[in-house]
Amino acid sequence: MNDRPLLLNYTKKSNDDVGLDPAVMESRPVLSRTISRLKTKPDVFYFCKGAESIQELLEMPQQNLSWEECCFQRAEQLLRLKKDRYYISYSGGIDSTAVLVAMQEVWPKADLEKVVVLLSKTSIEENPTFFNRHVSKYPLETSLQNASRLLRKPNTLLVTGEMGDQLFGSVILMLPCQEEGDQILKADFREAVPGIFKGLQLHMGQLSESTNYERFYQIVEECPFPIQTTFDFFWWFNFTQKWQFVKYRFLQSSDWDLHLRYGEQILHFYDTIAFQQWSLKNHDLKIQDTWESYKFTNKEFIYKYTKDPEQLTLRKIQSLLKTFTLNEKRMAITSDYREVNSIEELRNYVRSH
Amino acid sequence: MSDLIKTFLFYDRQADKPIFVKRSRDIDYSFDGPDFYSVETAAAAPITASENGLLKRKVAVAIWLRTIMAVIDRGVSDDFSERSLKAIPVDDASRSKFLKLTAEEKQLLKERILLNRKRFEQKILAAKTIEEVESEFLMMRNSVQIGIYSPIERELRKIYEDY
Repeated sequence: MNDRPLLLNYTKKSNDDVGLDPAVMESRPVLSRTISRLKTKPDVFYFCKGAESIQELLEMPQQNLSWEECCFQRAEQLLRLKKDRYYISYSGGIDSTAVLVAMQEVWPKADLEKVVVLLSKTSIEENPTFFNRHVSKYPLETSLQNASRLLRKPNTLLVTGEMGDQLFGSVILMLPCQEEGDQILKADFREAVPGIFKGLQLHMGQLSESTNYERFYQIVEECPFPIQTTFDFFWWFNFTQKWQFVKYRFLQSSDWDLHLRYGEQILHFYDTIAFQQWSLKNHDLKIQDTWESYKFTNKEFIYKYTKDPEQLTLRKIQSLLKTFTLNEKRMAITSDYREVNSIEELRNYVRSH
Repeated sequence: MSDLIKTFLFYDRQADKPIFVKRSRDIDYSFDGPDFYSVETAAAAPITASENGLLKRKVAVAIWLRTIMAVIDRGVSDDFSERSLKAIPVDDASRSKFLKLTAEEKQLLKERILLNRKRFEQKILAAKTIEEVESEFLMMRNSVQIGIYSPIERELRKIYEDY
């Protein structure tokens, strides 16, 4: 078992021709890119451990920080790294806006001069007042370029707003809320989740009789509190099954330099133990009764320090999409940061269920 | 979109027989491969069924690629038009930075569209078997069909028929 080759991440959007059993094939694409942090492993492939397990998070000393304290703690950690240049990946969404707010509150003015913001036109459209009042003060560069080139300069760090979604819930629920109304958030997960998975498959153009629900149902048993609603389920799904995929998806663009390492040249702002423990302990602070209230705690944090009421009405949109536009994707990355180039090689990593 | 429908006929070079017909109002589908060539005609012409499955599939996938790239290119042009940029409430103090950034982004996207179309088209046209064509088609969909400018699968089906 120890000699088995392992993947760090699988980034392909579908499983066509991978040689998986039909039950797994039908469950793409949601299933294909999940890497479980639980004892239950619905994973399609054998993966190395690239993030804390849920059990480890629960057994570690509990930091019990508020959301604001988590943000400031992370901003201080980044400052202590004493980099010469910090590139901040800014999508204009709630999470990356909060990153800049936290840094502006904690960092001395001289250190803020080391910041360069990577953004796109969409980032500005999403949050124009924050752009006018804050972002435009920094040197700006387009986020559509190959950021790994920027990181070849010594003592340089890229900070992203990734993992915020996994802490707060899941964007999977955005479309069902738009189509069926906000009441779906509080619906009994056993009744609503199979239909949502099915709708997702149809949305991706996949016609299948089976759903992912059967495959993932058992993950609810390891949650430290009872999963009852649709929102509970998809937060737990995202937090436990998608964490590692999201953490390492920056590797998927074929032009990304695989010599760069997470933790050395790139860090996600929300990837800390304190944030993850906050997520496990503060389930009531993620959403209220409507999709509009999603991430309300982070919006209130931004408002507190910007005094801009528009920050309270920011809506979650999929602001990352453009970053990946028209980039050739790698199929998978191995535990030693090597690219898997062929379906034949990928078959070596397939789990048997 | 123009009212004039153009017809592109694709011919098997070796057999000198038509293998595929594509009608379009807007997109230029004139392109040749080592084993086929295209001719633009004024009127729709009936074609005989082709025996060459590989060639037919190659042309179909290459047309799909041209279609999606044209749709993406159009999306970028609209999104970065003067009118669209003016609609974003950027204040005077930030405007020059904003315009510099968006000009750079538009150029980068346009370059990437051309580069990707060329790269994928070369791979499709060089394929020796239907399996190779399908494998490249899969890679294309995985790489290209993501992003705010890309139509999703169900929209694409309609676009593919319309253009």
